[in-house]
Amino acid sequence: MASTAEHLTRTRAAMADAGVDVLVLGREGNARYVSGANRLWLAGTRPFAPSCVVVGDTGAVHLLSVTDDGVPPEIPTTSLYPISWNPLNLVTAAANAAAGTTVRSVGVDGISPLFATLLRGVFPDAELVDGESLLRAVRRVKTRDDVSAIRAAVAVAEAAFQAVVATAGPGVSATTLSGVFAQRMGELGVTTPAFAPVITVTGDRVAARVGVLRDGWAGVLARTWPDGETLAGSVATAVGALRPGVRLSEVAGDAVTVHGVGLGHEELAGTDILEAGMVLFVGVERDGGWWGDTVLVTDAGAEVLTSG
Amino acid sequence: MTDRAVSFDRSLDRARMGRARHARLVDAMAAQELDVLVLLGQGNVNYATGARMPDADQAQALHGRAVAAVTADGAPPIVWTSAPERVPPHLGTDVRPSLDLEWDDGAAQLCDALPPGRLAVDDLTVPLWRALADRDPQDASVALGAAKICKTADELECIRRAQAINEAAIAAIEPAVTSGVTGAGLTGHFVRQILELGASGSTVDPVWQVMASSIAGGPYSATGDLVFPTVTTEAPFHAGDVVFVDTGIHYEGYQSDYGHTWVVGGDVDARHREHCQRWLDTVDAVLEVAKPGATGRDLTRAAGEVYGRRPWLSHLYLAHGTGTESAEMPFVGTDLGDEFDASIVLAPGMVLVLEPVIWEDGRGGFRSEQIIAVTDDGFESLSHLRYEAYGVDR
Repeated sequence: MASTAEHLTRTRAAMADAGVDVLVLGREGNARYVSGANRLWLAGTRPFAPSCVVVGDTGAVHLLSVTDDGVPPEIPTTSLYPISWNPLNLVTAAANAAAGTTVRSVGVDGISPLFATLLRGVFPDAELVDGESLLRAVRRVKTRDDVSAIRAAVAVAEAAFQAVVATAGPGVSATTLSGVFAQRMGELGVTTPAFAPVITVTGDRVAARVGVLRDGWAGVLARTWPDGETLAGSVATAVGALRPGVRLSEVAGDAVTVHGVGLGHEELAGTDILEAGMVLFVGVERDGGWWGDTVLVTDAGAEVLTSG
Repeated sequence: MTDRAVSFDRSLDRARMGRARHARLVDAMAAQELDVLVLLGQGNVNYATGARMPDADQAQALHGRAVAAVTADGAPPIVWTSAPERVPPHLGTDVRPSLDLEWDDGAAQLCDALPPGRLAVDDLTVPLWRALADRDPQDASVALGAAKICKTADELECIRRAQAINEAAIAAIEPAVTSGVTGAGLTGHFVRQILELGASGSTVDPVWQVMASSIAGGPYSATGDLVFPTVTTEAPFHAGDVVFVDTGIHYEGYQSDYGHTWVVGGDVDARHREHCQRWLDTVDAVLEVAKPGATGRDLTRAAGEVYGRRPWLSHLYLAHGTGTESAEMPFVGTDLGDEFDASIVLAPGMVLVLEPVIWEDGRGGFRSEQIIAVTDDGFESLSHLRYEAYGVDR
């Protein structure tokens, strides 16, 4: 909760810098970042639709939600708008959020031809601009509370993963192990995965890549056993190279995958320069096995948030 | 598949299904005078090509998505994906390395590779929107809706199978629904079941909402109507809780939709039975008119009013379609209104998930779901829910 206010402050500052008056957001990670709201989780892609609106001038955040259940108290019920099957109602809700302010620039995190037309209709004096890059940059460096939330997610992912390790054995299928992960996650109070567990069983060798979303924040790890040591070593080498000022492409590449971790998967480009406070997944995939850790970039280098 | 997997007695021809879907898309493109269809939504990519990427949270799914292009000449589609082994061979699909449309490079590469002509898209990332600006992309929703609204026999079998797995998983966990169990714990139990029973994944965070007996006693409502669904928490169930259940899983990318109402501890009383019976009566009245040629308005009129209100949630619908999306055309009883409902004409192959909600404010209510496919002379039920707990043998 404490972080949401900080998220909004950062977002509004970035909007002011970029001259963006209003953000119209369809991506759940972005909506959750600025609002702190916990809405129903759905798997997979979904087409763009305005489900959260941020007004830079006033700091108002309006949300598509029929109820305040799961919505922080900082967002008044008057800022909630219900789902509608008429797309015009959704852009009208966005326009209502910005009523009384001058809107010359509207940032979006995705678009469709229909919504581009409708948004231009309700914001006739505005140009539509890239809101996704803006939020990507804002979300990149985590607050202290963000890191705590990611640590808590990592703890759940690891505990559920331990149930997989304990169950694996002769005749136990990858499907069963995926189910065991989901069941343990639920027992630990978490119902939303970062992705469906990716598990292979080859003879007595098990490779597992798992991740959870706890309160929206991701915790991810990958392990292979037995004989995971050389993979682990490759990850450790990559992690050892992490520190502020390093270009991502100097670490990622070949077999090493690096991406951002936060409110789910976060995009990074090879040209991005690491900063303290960024959280990354660093993984290696080789010879049918994989290893990977969730890692916090610190002033001194990097702290691996996953253990063992 | 595991040895626990649900077995099916009807055949499913995946290659035939894939060819039929592609042909329907090509026809729909001709009707809309489109030359190229670019698909980013993973349900649409599956529909066009059979390619399905692993389940993931939205942000991960966007990052790892497959992208498809279909052309009006009926040539094999193109798929750009990091998982070529997930593209079935039946269309002779041109499989190419994945493009990351979250960045300008990937968007530009896609743009360069697209055939010329009038182009429609189902969704756009900001980089792709910029890259395609010169091509004046049209909205693909009309063409997609026209192709997808009527299902082939193979598509219906996929939905039937998804629903059978969902129902078997619910049957397996229902004995665990007792006082003290948490919704989150139940979700873990449920997801394990669906995987072992042969589902390809869970579509939505399962809903087990404990209902207050009045709207005012529940969470704040922006519409003044009943709030549903709310997000599952770690709160434990108590004996006597009335729980609205809503889950959805998929098989070959086709969606199930399981809704029901549970009374925790099983102490069903006369009021619960009455609400259930009113729900069944409402569904029966709708089914009475469900046949080719009937309109959505015919269905809403048949549903009538129960306890002085229209028997469905005002922010949702009386019925929705399902297929490669959990809620797709046709929609009936939405805020698009009566004229829109009247424009929906049932035809063989359409699928309707009927989800009336009976609500007697102050005394609670009942919600369940029944899935039907419209046939040549009526309907076939694709779901087989049980109501014995309410003293109804059906």
